[in-house]
Amino acid sequence: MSEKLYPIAVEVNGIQRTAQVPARLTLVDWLREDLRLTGTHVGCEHGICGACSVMLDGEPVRSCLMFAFQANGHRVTTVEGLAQPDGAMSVLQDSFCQTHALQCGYCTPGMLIAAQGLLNTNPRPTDVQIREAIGGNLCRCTGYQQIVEAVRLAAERLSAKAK
Amino acid sequence: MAQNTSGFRYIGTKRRTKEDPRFVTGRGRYAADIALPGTKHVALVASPHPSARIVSINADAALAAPGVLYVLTGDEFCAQTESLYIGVDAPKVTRYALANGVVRYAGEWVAAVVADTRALAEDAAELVEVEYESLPYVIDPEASLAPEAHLIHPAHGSNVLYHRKFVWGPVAEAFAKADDRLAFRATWGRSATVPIETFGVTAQWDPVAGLLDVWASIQMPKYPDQTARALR
Repeated sequence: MSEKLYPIAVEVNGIQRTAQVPARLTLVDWLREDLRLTGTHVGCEHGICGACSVMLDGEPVRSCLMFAFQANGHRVTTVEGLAQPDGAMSVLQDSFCQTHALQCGYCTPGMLIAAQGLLNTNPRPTDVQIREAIGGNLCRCTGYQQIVEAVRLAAERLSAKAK
Repeated sequence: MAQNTSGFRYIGTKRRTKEDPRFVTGRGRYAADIALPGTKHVALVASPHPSARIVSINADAALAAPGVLYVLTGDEFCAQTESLYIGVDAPKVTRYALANGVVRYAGEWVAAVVADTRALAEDAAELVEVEYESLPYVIDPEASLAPEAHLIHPAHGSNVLYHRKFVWGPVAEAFAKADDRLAFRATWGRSATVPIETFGVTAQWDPVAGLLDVWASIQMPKYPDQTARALR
């Protein structure tokens, strides 16, 4: 009953992790079930809802559409890795709280990853660019408006900080 | 924290919620995050037919698959549990978590495979052989009202499960006095709760205390009552 296992080494939220994984284990299942990083959520399991988004080498990807083995040698950041080094909420996380950009919270980790990916490359996005960036993430509570507001607020705060 | 800019003491104050920080930091706790030691996993076998009689279920190959502990069929399940509440006044209409002899929609669950991991349960679910005898079906709700339409619940004797006239106040009197009358027909789509969390349940039976603990992604009223009643 034992499946063949393959060795992987992945940097997850700044920590080097090694594991032996079956070829068919998805990245999200490895993160959630083996590393117990349950902040990343599984919604549709086929790349539509975006709840499982994580950063791979700084770029948002669907962790349900990747095998854990494919992350071998790469750097993964999950929602647990978005906080500031002292554990305080990031500006983006705090902005989500400020504008009530969530209700049930299930899509929130994926939204944060998508939005952070945008802000990393575009510090002053337009609303159209914000909507485009979160266009692959479904939310069934907010109607998106407050999420857009949160990302806009975070961009304003970050650029004020940079001055 | 946001300042009180409303000028009122009790209303109109902009506030932050207490629960948001845990959700934005990945510390929410959802049904899928429950990980009890020794948890077994269930994969379901779904009907590809919209309407059919279940002739037989052969679970031999599934039971022989790695890590498989049990295959539960609708026959066994329905013999040992009560129907769920159906929420309308139709006492002869029953609904069980597994199909009871016939399937009434494509995707209805007919068997449940229990295994050590989700992957092994899903592997084995593909090995369950179900023989169906296809029956007539009706997909359009309005077509189901036709006299010759296939009865979805024959024991009920009709495809109308719910019919109610809503009357508030002296309607007839108001119409009699009205200068004009307007009649129209309204239809609307079916709605359902479809959260991105989807649906999941973890349950743990404590035989010593005689207690069943259930963690479920559900906000349905009376869910514990419904479960307790179904389990007798």
